[in-house]
Amino acid sequence: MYAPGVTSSPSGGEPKVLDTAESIIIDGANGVTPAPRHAFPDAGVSLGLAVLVVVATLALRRRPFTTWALPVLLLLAAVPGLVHVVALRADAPLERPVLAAKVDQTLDAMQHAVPWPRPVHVAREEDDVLYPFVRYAVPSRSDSAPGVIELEVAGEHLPAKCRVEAPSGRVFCGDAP
Amino acid sequence: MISLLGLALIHLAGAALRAALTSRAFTQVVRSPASGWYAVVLLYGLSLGAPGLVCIAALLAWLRFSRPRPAPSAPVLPLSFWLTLGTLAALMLARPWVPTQWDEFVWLAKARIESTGFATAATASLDPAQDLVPSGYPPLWPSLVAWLSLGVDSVSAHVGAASLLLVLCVATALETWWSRLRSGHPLLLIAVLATPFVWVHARSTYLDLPVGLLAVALLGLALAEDLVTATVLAVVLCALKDEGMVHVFAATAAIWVTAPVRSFKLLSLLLVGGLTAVLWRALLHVHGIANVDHAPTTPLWHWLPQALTLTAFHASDLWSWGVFWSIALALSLLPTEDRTLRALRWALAVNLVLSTGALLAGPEQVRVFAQNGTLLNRLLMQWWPVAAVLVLESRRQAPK
Repeated sequence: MYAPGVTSSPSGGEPKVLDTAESIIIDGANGVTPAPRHAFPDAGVSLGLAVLVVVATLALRRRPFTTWALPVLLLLAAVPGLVHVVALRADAPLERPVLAAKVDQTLDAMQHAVPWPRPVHVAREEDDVLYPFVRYAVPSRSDSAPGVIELEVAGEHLPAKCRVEAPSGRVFCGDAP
Repeated sequence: MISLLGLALIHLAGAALRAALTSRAFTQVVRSPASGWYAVVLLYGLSLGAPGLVCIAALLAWLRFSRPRPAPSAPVLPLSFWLTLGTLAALMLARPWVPTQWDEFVWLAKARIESTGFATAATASLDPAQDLVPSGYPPLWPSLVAWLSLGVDSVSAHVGAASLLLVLCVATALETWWSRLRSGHPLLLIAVLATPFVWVHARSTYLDLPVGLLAVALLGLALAEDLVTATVLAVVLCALKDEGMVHVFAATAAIWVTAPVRSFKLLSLLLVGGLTAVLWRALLHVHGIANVDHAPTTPLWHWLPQALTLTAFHASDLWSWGVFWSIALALSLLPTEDRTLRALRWALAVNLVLSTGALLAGPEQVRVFAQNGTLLNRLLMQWWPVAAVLVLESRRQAPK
């Protein structure tokens, strides 16, 4: 599953940064970058570096300066990832309000259209960006109850809006037709 | 914030229960972050109805019977502990009160169900018609979120509660290891805490970091022979996630292998954790619910090289982990006589073996998750706290 809207590298290769709200929803907790989703395009370099660090740590462990070398090495190697976490990702501290606003608007739209625990029959919830939102908006299902609301959800973009189709009362959220 | 009140109530109730069970002064145990978990275990048992009630009564009786006599006096946590915890908590809680990652929505959705009434999340989890996702998972975490929110059904209350629970897990782990870690190199502590991916999960409501933190706390408590609180954490771990059982087994094995004198009392951790997991599995079976993510199958042995390769790719990902896992691996290979270090290594090794085994013997979708990059970094997050303590303790194997 590829996250929609994930920024591509300038050369047009695999996306390098989780810098959209949609990519954070789908892959934000799977890695600092989308690398795990794309089978680690730089695995060779990373593995080579890892082997080098293991050998160096084993070789130098008994030298007095390693008291400082170990934390310095850890800190230096953490810098690229921390740049993503602190500045580049869509959930970086300064970007989070924008992300939160998109999430809020989408949840508000769904909770207004299908106020749980009123019975809802989810006729369509595709496995994409909006799937977890509809799971939160309608956490349990009781589609055989009288007065049930029919809901269709599909979409890849945030914030998503909902509309009610007249006269059926069927609710569509996201890009659903 | 309503969740803060909920946490305070649960902590006070837990401290009262701990004082009663261990014959320690309330004024002493109320200062211990781990006390809250006593009340959590009681509430979890109650939420499972009659079978849970029977098990919890047996557990409380066992804890009372097995308490150390005379009751040990706990060391007073110094100001440096509270300052460190306060700093970490401030960084973790400085987030908007909305979920932003896939599983956050799914876990908190179950908390919404529990907000409608006590034990409703457990009841809904056992009702196939409710079609909960993920199906068959233990309901403690979402239930706990709702209990802390005192039944308020709001997204900000739920995110706040889950974030506070994560802080409680940090506090529990830190409390357990503080006496050893405080004498370490402050720069090394900062360097280990600077692992980039940890800050993604520290500001999230995912369950992997909490499970890892409670696992390292369990190991620390067992090493310090506080088996009563360790048993309580074993129940919590196995009620949070199926992987909790793996952590309890790993910790027990690590303590058992490294113990100078092996006491069968250690196995109580495994027994109580196992009973917690079996109770939930039995309830699922009785209600016809399948946990399709964790259903065992015939092991695919030929997938072993791929499992190890994928684990190596994830662990060496510079952007997520820096060189943390490389250094942890190197330090694991150095000889040491220190029992704590040896126990930490054993815990990591057993976790690696059992989790790899679960990948091979799990359903096909688990291997698909691993290949898609949505599984192994989360397992590494569960192991990170044990590995972090291993790196922080490494000075004990340095030559004089």
